Amino acid sequence: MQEVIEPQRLPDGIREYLAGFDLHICLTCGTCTNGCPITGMPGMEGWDTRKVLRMLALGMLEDVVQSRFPWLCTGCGRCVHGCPMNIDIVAIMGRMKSLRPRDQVPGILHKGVENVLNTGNNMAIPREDYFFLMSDMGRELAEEECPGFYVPIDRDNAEILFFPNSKEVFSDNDDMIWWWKIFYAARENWTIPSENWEAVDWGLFTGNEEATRILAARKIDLMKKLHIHRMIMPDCGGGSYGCRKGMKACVMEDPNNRIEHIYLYDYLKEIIEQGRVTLDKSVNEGKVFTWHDSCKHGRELERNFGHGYFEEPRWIIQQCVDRFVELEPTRANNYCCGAGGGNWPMPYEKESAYHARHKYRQIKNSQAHVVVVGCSNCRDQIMKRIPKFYPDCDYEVKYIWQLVAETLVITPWSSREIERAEEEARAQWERLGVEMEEEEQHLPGA
Amino acid sequence: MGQIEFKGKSFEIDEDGFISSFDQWCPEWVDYVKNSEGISELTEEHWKVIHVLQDYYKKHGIAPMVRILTKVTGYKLKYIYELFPSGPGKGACKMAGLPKPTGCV
Repeated sequence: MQEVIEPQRLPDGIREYLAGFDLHICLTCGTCTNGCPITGMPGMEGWDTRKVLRMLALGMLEDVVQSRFPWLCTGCGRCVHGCPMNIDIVAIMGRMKSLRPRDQVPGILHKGVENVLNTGNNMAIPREDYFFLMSDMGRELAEEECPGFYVPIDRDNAEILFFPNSKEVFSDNDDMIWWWKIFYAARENWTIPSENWEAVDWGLFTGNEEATRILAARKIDLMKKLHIHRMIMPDCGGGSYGCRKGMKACVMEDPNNRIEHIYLYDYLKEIIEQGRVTLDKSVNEGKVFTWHDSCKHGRELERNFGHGYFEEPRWIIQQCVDRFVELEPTRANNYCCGAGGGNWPMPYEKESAYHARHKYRQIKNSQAHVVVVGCSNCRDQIMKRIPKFYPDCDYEVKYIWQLVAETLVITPWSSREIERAEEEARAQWERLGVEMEEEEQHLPGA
Repeated sequence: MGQIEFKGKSFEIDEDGFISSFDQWCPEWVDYVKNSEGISELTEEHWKVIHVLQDYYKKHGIAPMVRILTKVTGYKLKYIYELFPSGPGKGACKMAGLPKPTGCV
């Protein structure tokens, strides 16, 4: 005979938090469970979203907090999108993560948060290594393709502030070059910060709302200190969404914290529409392209901040290619790649790959040759993890800015523009104490 | 945390399968990890990468950026991926006894 579960009283703080969602309005219809890719996951038998909500309604808080369920939740929001009572299940799962003692946060996530709070980037990359990379790679691009190019750091009064992702600084260096080429072609007045430059936000992944607020506050401070006009929101779904959440908290504290930001889709659309870049579709002839709607740039952004980027990326892609097909389902009904919520770096690879089974089928059925994405976690999941676990993945994956960069026709800079930029670069590296040589540079710390 | 035994040595590992402390590193660990990393035979080139990673880690407490690793070893990134199929941040750091890098690598 099964034991009857008696409702228990929750601790006051979490009881007040959950009261905001009123779990008793849940109809137990199971729409959330049916729409959730965790349902049926090997190793998670007996767990599903509806059950978790019932457990919380009955006061079984510790069972939920100690389970893997909130961590395997990618925060994709399909559950909330379908919920007839509009219960914010994503926010509830985030709060469940926050209740885990920090030394029990899975894998490396909390260590990354500590690093970014202490050093300004998740991987604790030293400042001199960061400068070395930017100067060395910038020099190479200038020599090979874009004369006069350099990476501006802390440029006062820049139009655009751009935040590098630590994985690109640490290892995927070449992935930075596409944005650089776009800025070069558009003759953008842009800059990156010398400190607190991290694009990603693992505060969001660990339910650490204070870390998310601090990271957003740092971005706001940089904007003010450097007198920047607009910052481009980080591409990373968690990075941009966390930044929006954190900025909202900062603005509530002080309305003067409101700063101008622009999403990468609006930025790309703007420079194409204004004729600041020229594109040649013919380089992409013969291939069929599709678009993966990132949850945090689409469905979740729309639900929480009123506008999801569904139409803009499709418009941008169609400026670059002739043959475009949709995934099915698409837009707000699209499936998560399986890497959201920290599931790319977390130690749950098989579970994340299981989560991605829908994405694999969607791509397969689309018959597209190229999957275009707008989020760095989605990119790695679709490009690296899905092919590792599923057969016959013969597609390519490209960032949307990569597609634009590869389709660019760059109008050459005049010799005057090149000379001026070279002079600025020399002054900048001298100011930052970076030695520039013709061929090899001094390797810091090596 | 877990414990594994290999060739008479005992290693404490974290959830990601990395040894939990660099102090535990010994050549037997490299031998243990190589199979799961898809490496059939260790060459001098593997060891050169491992030693460069370890030297940098001893000085700075983190893994070096790949740009530094490629310049110091003289190996192109593509070649490092041939040596360590799961990449410098995962396979090479794991074999060298470094902690898993704390980024989306």
